[in-house]
Amino acid sequence: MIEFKNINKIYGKNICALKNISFRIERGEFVTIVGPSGAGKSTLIRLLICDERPTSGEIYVAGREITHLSWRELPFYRRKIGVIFQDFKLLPQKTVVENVAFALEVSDTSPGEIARKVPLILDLVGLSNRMNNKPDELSGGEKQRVSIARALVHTPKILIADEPTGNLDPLSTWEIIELLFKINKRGTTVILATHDKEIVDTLNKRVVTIKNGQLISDQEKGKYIL
Amino acid sequence: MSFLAFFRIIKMGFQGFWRNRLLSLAAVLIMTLTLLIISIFVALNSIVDAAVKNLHEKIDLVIFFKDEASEEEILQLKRVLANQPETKSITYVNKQEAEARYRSRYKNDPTRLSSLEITGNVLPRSLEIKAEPPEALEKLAKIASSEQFKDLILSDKGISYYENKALIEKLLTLTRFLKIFGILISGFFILVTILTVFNTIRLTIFSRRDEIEIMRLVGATESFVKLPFAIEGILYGVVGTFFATIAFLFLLKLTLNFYNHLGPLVLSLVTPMMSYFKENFFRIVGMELMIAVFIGTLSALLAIGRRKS
Repeated sequence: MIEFKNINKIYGKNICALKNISFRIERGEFVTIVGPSGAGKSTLIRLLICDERPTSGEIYVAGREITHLSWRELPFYRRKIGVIFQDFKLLPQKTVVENVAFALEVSDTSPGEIARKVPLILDLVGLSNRMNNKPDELSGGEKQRVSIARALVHTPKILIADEPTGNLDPLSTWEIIELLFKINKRGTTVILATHDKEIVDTLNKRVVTIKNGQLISDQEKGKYIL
Repeated sequence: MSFLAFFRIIKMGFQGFWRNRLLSLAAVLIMTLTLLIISIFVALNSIVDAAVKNLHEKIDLVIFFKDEASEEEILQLKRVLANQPETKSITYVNKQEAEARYRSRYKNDPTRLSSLEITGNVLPRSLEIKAEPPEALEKLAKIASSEQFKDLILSDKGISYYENKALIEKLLTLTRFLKIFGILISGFFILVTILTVFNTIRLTIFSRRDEIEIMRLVGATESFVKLPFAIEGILYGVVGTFFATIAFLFLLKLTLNFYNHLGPLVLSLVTPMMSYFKENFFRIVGMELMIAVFIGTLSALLAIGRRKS
């Protein structure tokens, strides 16, 4: 499904963010990418969503090499993956429904299809009663659920979560992790970057550990080892 | 692009304009001021133009003939001069016409009129010539004073040009200076205000860079990211033109209200400006609209820029 092959990322002349990273993620897996702040987790995620390009190496997603996508191809690739971030990245002036619908509007989906899909996905993340609120009227956990709904509305095969619980209280954190679990059970590959030891140890899923830009461990049913 | 996408882009442009109304207001106000300044400079240039035209109208060449010169010879010179491309108008004034003009000019001066009774009509015949550009009068004067015609012409002050040469040259230098100075100053101020508009729109969009990032993140194509901002740029232009036109009409009305209190000099300058704006109102508003929409769209598109990688 996803393969990183000898990925190196160097910023400026000698700031090495990733060193020779190689690993595979299979379809339907739940993989946690773990590492302290500055280890290179977010760089890896940014490479996967083509927000940056590696200095060398290749990344394959569903058999396709993505490090050389042109800017014309990029939007279509982005519609096939779902991404959520620590800071939610919601449009503050749009309501919950509008934020989720926006992802469909940009891909030329018909109004009828949008009206059918959006309530379903908001129901999945448990926000049916918050549809017409704006982001600043929601709690952190609710904002992240809107962000997840937006990421899922395209029914992507992969969901990428970059520190999704970093800004949340413990209760909301577990709600989000449970939601990610639920999504994974429906067949979506989930990649979760985090430095939260408690989450990693409780999940008992595959753990890829990165430190100083290098992959130092890759365990099935792993624990937080740093 | 599908009709649906086009409709959504237009809708997003209007939504963005309305939902960020404080930022939009700032951009529209700067746009309005810019257009107002452009209008005022166009008006000032029209005043300078009118003044220059007025001065040019006053510059002419008069050739006075000896009584011995035959009318046939004078008319031959008239034909030669009329054939010069720079000659704008040429009029032959015979003795009767010269007398009629003299009488009308000094109708309140009995001494001068009576002198005419004593001496009889001693007024010389003349050719009155206007040229475009007025600088060409020197060439025409040279033709008149050439070997072929010089014997026809009064030897003392026979060609007015040589009498007024210094004054004419001063006037021409002044009008050239006024024109160039007007264009330079207007150009400078228009450039400064356009840069201000450009910068304001850039800042407006820069403050919404998160929105642009999110659009790209959820898979919006570049046209879907940029065109709503271009629509907003167009709206800044359209609304700005609307306000600028109203403000300018208000200024004109205000000037009109003080019409009678203005001194004759100001009045002579304001009147051509007024008529210029009345005659060209729709052309000016149309031009402003085009400039505003062009600056608005271009600034918006340049401000968003290309994606990172």
